[in-house]
Amino acid sequence: MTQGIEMFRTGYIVDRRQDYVWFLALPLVSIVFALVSGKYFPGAVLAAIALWVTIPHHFVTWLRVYGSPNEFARFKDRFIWGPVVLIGFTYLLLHYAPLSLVLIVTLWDHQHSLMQQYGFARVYDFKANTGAPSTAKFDLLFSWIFFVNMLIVSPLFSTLWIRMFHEWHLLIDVIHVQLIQNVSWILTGAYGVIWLLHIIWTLRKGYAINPLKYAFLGVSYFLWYFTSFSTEYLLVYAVAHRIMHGVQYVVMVYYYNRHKVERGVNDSPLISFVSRPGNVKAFLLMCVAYALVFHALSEGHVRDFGFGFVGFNANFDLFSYSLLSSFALIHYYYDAFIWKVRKKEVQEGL
Amino acid sequence: MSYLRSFKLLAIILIIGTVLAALERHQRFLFNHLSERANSRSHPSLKGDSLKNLADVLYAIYPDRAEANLLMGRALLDKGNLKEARKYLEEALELDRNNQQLLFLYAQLLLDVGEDEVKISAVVNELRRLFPRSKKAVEAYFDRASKGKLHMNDGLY
Repeated sequence: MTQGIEMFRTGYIVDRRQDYVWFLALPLVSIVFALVSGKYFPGAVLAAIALWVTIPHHFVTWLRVYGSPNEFARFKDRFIWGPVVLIGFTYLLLHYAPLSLVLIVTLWDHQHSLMQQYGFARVYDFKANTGAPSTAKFDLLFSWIFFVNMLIVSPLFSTLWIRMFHEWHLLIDVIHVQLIQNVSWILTGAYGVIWLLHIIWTLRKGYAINPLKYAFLGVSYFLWYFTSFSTEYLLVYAVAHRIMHGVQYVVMVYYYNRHKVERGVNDSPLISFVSRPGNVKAFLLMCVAYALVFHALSEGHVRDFGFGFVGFNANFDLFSYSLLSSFALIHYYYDAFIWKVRKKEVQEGL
Repeated sequence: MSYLRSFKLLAIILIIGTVLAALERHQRFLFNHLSERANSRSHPSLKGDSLKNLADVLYAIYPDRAEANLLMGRALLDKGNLKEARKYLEEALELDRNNQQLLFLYAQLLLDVGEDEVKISAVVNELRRLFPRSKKAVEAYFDRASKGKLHMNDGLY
């Protein structure tokens, strides 16, 4: 898996071929695909593309945490109470304070996105045994500063946050918007220099670095910055981002489960079945089936199967709609504690 | 104690959500700057002077963005200034034709100013084609608003 070179040591999340395809080439292909789709397809098609990737990537989280007795036992209480609390809370917010729900889902989604790329960067260092002890902190700060800067300064996202400020009646004017954007650029540029100096310091101190990690961070941030600066259309960004985020997540979980099966530390017959090399199609079919069931739930189609006992009042529509947000929140919530690279149980599948 | 600590993140989310909800409701009742949502799947949006304030800020920073032109058009429509609104909506359409709200507002505006039916039909058909999910609602609305004078055609994309 690793090759020893003095300054540069390469380690892969899966293997050389898979990493080049899913973690380095995919973001670039996603950009082209999203731009072409945005130009030639209507919004409904773009929304469908984003959904066909996003919903199945939630499913693989459920498969991991509810499919394995050991995984489930590790955080049993959170896996039981988390969904109950978040579904109820989301419904209440949508009913009484919808802008608060939009704000929470939006901010947590951004945090979740940047932390996934940060987490994969940690895996790269873990697999190659690279970086100084301080590298994790510098990379974390890099992820936050560069991602938040993109949100603050890009025309696509600044339009959104300025609107959100006004919706909350926090009336920000042109001068203050420009001030915030300028300060953000300065801080980001300054931290970019510090981050690069830290890499040089790391090498001088005799620690190796994994060039793939930096290539991976480079293409990930290129996707975010390029699409948020070059398109008028949020769905174009969403398609590019969702393909990168969702597909990389599915690949990660698939190989995580497969490694556990190969290493004899998996305890789930279902995960053993879907992780067998010949059963990729079965795994993908389960993802598709889940997407269809979830769509029926969130669109309120369950009412048609309910013999008139389900969905008989107007609140059912609101509840169905709230599932889109609540399932996303549950996914963000689980991912916040099930993927700690420093944990031995997680390392068993990496 | 460690049992309760395991729910720390969940508790933080609940606290943040509750504080935000209280603030949202406070602001909303105090300033009355948001319109009611039309259905369970829509969200409250800015209206009146608040909408115009936002449009002014965005247009000053991004005059060549569709969103800024759309908001300026919407704000002017809200104030009944159809002629000016049309200018901004057409500019927004030049930049982005994939916006459902934009196409809807433009078709509505054309209808309000008594524009040629062929021209209005083209915009409505574009709206129906690009957003099939709301096709029936759009047909019903414009059929009623135009008293059946618009010509709706079918076609894939």
